[in-house]
Amino acid sequence: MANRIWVYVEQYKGKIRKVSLELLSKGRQLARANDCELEAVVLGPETAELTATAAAYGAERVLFITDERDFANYTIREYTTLLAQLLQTDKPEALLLGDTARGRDLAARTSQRLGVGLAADCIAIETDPDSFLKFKRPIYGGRLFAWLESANRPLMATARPNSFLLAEPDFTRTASVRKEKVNLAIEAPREVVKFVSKRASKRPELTEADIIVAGGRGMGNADNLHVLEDLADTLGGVAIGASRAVVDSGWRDMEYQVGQTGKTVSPALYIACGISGSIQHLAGMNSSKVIVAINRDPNATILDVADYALVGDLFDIVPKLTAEFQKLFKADN
Amino acid sequence: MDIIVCLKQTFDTETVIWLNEKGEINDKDVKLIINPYDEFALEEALRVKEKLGGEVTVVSLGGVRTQEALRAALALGADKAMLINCENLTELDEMMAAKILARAINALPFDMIFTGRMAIDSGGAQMAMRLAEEFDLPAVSGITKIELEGRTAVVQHETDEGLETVEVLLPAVFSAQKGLNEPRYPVMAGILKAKKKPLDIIAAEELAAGLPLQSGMKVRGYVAPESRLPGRVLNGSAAEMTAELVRLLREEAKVV
Amino acid sequence: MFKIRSIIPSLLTEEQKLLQESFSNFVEREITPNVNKWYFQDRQVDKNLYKKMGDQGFLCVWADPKYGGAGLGFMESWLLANELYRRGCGSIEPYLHSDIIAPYFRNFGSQELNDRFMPDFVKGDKILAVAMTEPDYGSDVGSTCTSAVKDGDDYIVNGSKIFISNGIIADVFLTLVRTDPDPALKHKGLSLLVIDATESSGVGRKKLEKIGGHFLDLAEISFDNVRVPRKNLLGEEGRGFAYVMKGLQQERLLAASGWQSFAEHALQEGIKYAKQRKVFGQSLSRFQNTEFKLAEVACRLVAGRSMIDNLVLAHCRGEDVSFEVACAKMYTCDYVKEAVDVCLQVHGGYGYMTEFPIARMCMDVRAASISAGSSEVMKIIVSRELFTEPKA
Repeated sequence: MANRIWVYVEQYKGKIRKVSLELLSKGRQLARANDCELEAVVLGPETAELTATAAAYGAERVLFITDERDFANYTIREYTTLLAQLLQTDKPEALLLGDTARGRDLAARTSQRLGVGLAADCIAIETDPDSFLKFKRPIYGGRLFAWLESANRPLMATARPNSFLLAEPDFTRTASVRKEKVNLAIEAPREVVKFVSKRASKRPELTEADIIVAGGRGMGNADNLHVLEDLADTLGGVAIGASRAVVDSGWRDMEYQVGQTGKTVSPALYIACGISGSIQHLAGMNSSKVIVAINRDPNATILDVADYALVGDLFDIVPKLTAEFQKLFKADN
Repeated sequence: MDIIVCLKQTFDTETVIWLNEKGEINDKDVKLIINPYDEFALEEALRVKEKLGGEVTVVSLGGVRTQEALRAALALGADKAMLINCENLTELDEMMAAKILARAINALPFDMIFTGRMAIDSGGAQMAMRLAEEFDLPAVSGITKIELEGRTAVVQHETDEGLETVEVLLPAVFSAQKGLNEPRYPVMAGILKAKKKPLDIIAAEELAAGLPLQSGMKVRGYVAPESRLPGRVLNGSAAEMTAELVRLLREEAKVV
Repeated sequence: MFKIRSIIPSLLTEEQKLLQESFSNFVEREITPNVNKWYFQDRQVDKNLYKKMGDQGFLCVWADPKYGGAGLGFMESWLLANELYRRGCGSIEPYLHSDIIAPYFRNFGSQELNDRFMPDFVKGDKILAVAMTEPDYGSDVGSTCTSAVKDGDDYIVNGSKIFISNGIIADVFLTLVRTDPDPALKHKGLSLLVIDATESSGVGRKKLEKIGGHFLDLAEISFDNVRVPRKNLLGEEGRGFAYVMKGLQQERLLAASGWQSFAEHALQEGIKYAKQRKVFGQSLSRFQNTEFKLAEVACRLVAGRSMIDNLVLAHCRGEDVSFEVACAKMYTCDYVKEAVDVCLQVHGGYGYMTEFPIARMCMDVRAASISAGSSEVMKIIVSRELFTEPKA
């Protein structure tokens, strides 16, 4: 049997998470370069839509793993057993997962069960003549990077969202389907999710967002944040982020915090308004593709990392920027 | 309620990271701190102990300097400390570190294990899950609240779907997220008491006997981040700058 | 960031390092965020700071555990006192309460006096001030004329004191009073009296407006027929002046070492500014004048640091280094003014703006050669030593 690369397909709100599609795209590239087959792995019941989408992004086979109860949701411990069992029987060369909360937990538990290493939060994966694959990941908040490799199989890695390009999906492609049932040896549940309070925001999740508008201490107070909301809405309902100062002052909840003790984001465009650019904040957004900084202090550190810097009063600049984008999008239509 | 808190000592955030001639990360004269997320873990453990009694033991994988961090934890109120000195072992990956840590913890009684959500140096965020796996226990990452009702812990943590509330049967492992609590800082009385509390040091090689130390991920090398191309400061009035910015973002950067 | 090296960190025990770090964190949380408000708005430190420090065990760390203290030594006191100067906050002075005034109680006070007052000093429930200087007598302390006349079980105190640190927030004044009016006795007629303003009425306070040191509430205190129990006498009558003389080595050493750390902080501010400021297209730090001026300051500070480190260690060993300490007080307080001035000049116009710490430090530093023993008095002490024959 040919060597295989597995990509874990994570579902979110009924759809495949963007990072899983990015990994399928990358996985296809790696598989072709190494004469391997790309398999998408779903820990849940088969659906035609999942198969079709996975195939469109490059999977040659889709493997659905559940237990006899055929749940769509399990605890991490249960997910680990579903995955580990098949990893032990099938022995793929590599398993790639998206670095989401669940992806990270699952990868950690699975790699511990199998006694193999894990390269977490990778921003690059490359073929290597000696070790098959090597993985590049940030350490010290992105101030340094480490290249990792392992002699053991499967090679396991989680990928940071927005690190790999989404391929053009080809919905004419098909993939074969395989279904496996694993005996989970049901015992009384040790952990039970009681309820989930849905997040109020309709905005995209920060770690997967393509564009982020972020505010810092320079915003002044909670009410002023509407200036950022207007800009974010104009840009297409994009995500809003906050510096630690904003969260600590109570102007925004913790879930919006970008930085070392908040979220790490990798958007194509990060617009920082009134953010000075402490090391802690930069650690959370320095892998953004394009950084725009708006600040009235010409010595603010963030201006050094920005691709485009605007020095001035953000309450003058941001509304004008919003207006300029409105003009642009109107002309597009 | 006996709790084990896994602590890591990391470089201070402001440390300048650079590689020496051998390509190793310089750690001479570097200021060391307790990993910020571990402070939340320790604080919560101390609060549980204050409410329900029991002992808090802090365990750390590290070197000689890690004793400072463990003393500080004892000064805050932990009862016992254990240092697993791994200076003689080549860099351990998360998987091996968890195996060695688990062997150390195995000798201690516990109802819960707390860790911080993530170490700010390695950015691993895996220890809780890995330890849980070693002991075949349930685990919840990144908790922002915990309440104990008998042998059940009711915890909250953020997921992509929203704020999830989970009931977990002890024993279990939890990792602490920012927002769980406000850590206390040491008072004089605590600092004085810390001197008398036990701080045991074990050589990691002893615990690691028989383990295939090279079976995990290995660092092949380190590289500095690619320097970003120097940016541009836009000039002119707000109206002029914003018009120019939008043009650049569309035509040059191509991100809108 | 450049730092003047001190040998003391390498000599600290683990506990001492932990103590220093804990207090450093305390300062970051409780003091640093309030610096501008206290200095420029309130023009004094928040009285609650003492209570907070007391709760955490950071006051009178040398005090006997039976009073709630930690029973530690001078090194620990010094580490805490130094912490604030190190950050350019010289005029926040809890060390005055802890390490200059409260020790008088331990050194010369009766058991009964200590039992009565020390617990409150350790907890920060009562704040101490020392009242010695009078409107007419500063350096000439021996001529003090605030009177304390016996009346039954009390003394009746009349007079006024000036330039009293923490004069507004203090609860207890350790006051130098004339208990024996015989002019022939001069300084031998002086005693130290513990005047608890929460128990005795007649203590008037007037806040003094000064050009800097705005964390500190400096006051003129008036005693108008203040009735003080005789059991509040510290030690023996007539020994007040002698007691004061004994405490001077520590007081002057704390002041000298404080200003040394203060100057080191000013140097760091100067370097920080020069590095990031661009003038005529290049970094200010590349101009030789700037480099050389800061280098000169650095040299002086290296010499000063060596001197201070040695004196701190000698004092910890219990040695009499009062002569060297007098030299150190004079020396540090002169060059700290110069160091701050040079670093302010490096800042250019921004150095004159209150938003910048160096401006605030400049406002503070002028008091260095005046308070805790003026440079003139230090010169008297030093020159006397030069020409006095050693005792056989």
